[in-house]
Amino acid sequence: MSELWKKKLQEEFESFTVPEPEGLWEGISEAMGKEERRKRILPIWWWSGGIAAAAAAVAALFIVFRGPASTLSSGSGDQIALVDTPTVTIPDDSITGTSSSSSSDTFDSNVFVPSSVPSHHSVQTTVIEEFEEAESAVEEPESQPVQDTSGTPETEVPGVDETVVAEVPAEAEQALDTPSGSTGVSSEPAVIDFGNFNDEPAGTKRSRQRGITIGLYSGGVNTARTESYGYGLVQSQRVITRAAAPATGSGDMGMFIRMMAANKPSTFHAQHDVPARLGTSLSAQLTPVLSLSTGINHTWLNSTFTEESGASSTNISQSLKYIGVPLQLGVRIPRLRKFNLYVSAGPMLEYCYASDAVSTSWFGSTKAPEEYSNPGKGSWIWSAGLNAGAEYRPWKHLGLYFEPGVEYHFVRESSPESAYTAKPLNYSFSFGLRFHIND
Amino acid sequence: MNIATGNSLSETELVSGVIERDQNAMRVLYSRYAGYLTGVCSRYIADDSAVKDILQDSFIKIFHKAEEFEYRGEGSLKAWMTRIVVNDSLKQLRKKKNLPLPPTLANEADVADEPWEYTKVPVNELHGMIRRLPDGYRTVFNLYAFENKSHREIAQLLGIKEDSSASQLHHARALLSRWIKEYIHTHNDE
Repeated sequence: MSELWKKKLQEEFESFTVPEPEGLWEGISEAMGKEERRKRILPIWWWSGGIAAAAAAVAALFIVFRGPASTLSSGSGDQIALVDTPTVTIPDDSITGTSSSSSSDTFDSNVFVPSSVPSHHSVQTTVIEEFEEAESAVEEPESQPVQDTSGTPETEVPGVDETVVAEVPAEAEQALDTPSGSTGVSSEPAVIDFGNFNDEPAGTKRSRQRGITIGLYSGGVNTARTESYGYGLVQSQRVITRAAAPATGSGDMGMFIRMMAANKPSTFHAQHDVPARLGTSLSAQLTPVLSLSTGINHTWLNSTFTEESGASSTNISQSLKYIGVPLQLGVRIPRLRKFNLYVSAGPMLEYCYASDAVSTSWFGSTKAPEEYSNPGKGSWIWSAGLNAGAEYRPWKHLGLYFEPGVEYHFVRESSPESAYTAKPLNYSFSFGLRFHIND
Repeated sequence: MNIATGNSLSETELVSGVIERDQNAMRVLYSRYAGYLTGVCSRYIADDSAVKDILQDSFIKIFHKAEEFEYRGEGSLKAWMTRIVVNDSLKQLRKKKNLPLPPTLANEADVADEPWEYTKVPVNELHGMIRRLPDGYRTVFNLYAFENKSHREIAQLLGIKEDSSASQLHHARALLSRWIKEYIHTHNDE
């Protein structure tokens, strides 16, 4: 008899319905529609890769075809962002952020014995995860066997303590959080089928920082400047005469430029465009904090040299192209939610594989034939860089970063005159996109 | 498929359609069970706006997790969906932490063990009476009466003592019994 009232009550309500709240279906379908649209979007890494490739291609085309004399110098050596290079993925940085799983509740669905299902059924349904965040990945605990509670007698406790359902004791909370073991509560496995009511259920995984990052990047050394030399030079030491103009060749023009730059005659001006760099990188996370990255990049260094003396003038347009291989060690500062902060440093070796210089001279109103040269072709240059960066990762595989730094080029006597030699120590900053493969 | 023809679909066919993200299948599933699940949720949650929010979340969860459902016979889909709704309702209640202190009943012992004359009360009236119960009483009553939970299980779920669960149930039944008697008395007079 003690259970009869329950059974009949359940029968009464078996087919009982209440009109659903107004607008419920519209809210559901709208939420489902948003979710479907989001899932239909190509994986982020496809987009980031495509954007990076497109941006790199556009930047490369722009830089290659804009010509050596078409850029403007900063005039004061201030730091100028490489505004002519669109979005780019940034290299490596092995600073792959930790992707944390979102919290979710799990509950053992096996214990629930609905009144409409015969009690002899072994309800081994799977555990259901609460869908809280799309990015979350929560392990599901194994199913638990059903416990038939239909025979549990009603407990009559007249005059019992009037303790009401009040705040959840800490022990009980802990018990629900860790059904396998807690303080002061039965250690029986999850007879509970209504969840753990906890925000971080057992089984939540956190991925380790062992990802590999591949990136395309654009950036550069911010050393654009114009040099105007105010020193005087003894006439006899000046070499800027038409007669002394270098013949077409591979090294004479370069030597000529170096001489002018070294002597700094008052009539000599050097204008170095903002170096532009594109590259790819690969980085690997050595430890959760340390990363090692390398890659290959391409740098364009364009300069214009002008010498004016009386009625004569010489204008040299120079374009240098370097292939560089950097090697950087990165240190990640503990991640703040979706932000990564890091520092990286390391050397880079660059090889000048192409060099073009065109010299145009005027003597009064007479223009001399243009002369061509390849100053610095085949030369090498070492540099060391130190960067600090901040990356924001709105999605798991995509990061937006900003990275200022300094770079020092170890120039040699044979190094062609360029932004590297004019200002060996440079500030730089770059920004762009970076995507992480398995982080 | 439209709702009219969809009503003839079996539970497994419906679930298959939902897994394939068939909008019509989702609509049919919703139409078939929304009323029942609203009744279930509103037995736990007194606030109508909260009922709507919980039901929306529950249905989205049902649609997303349909592939995890394992058919166990007739009624298992309904039971599975009910479980989701009940879980979400309990989580909502859990957020309150301190469930309101129920009123002290006068002469409670006199009504505690009276047999229920619930058959004389329309089910919708019974539903309303259950919703009127204080949160603590109502939660324990629902878990015991409808979900077949033992006091031990209820105590673990809600973080209370086992005898406290029994006490809450005792009070809930006493209140309902009184209201039922008042209802019968009122309608007999009419």
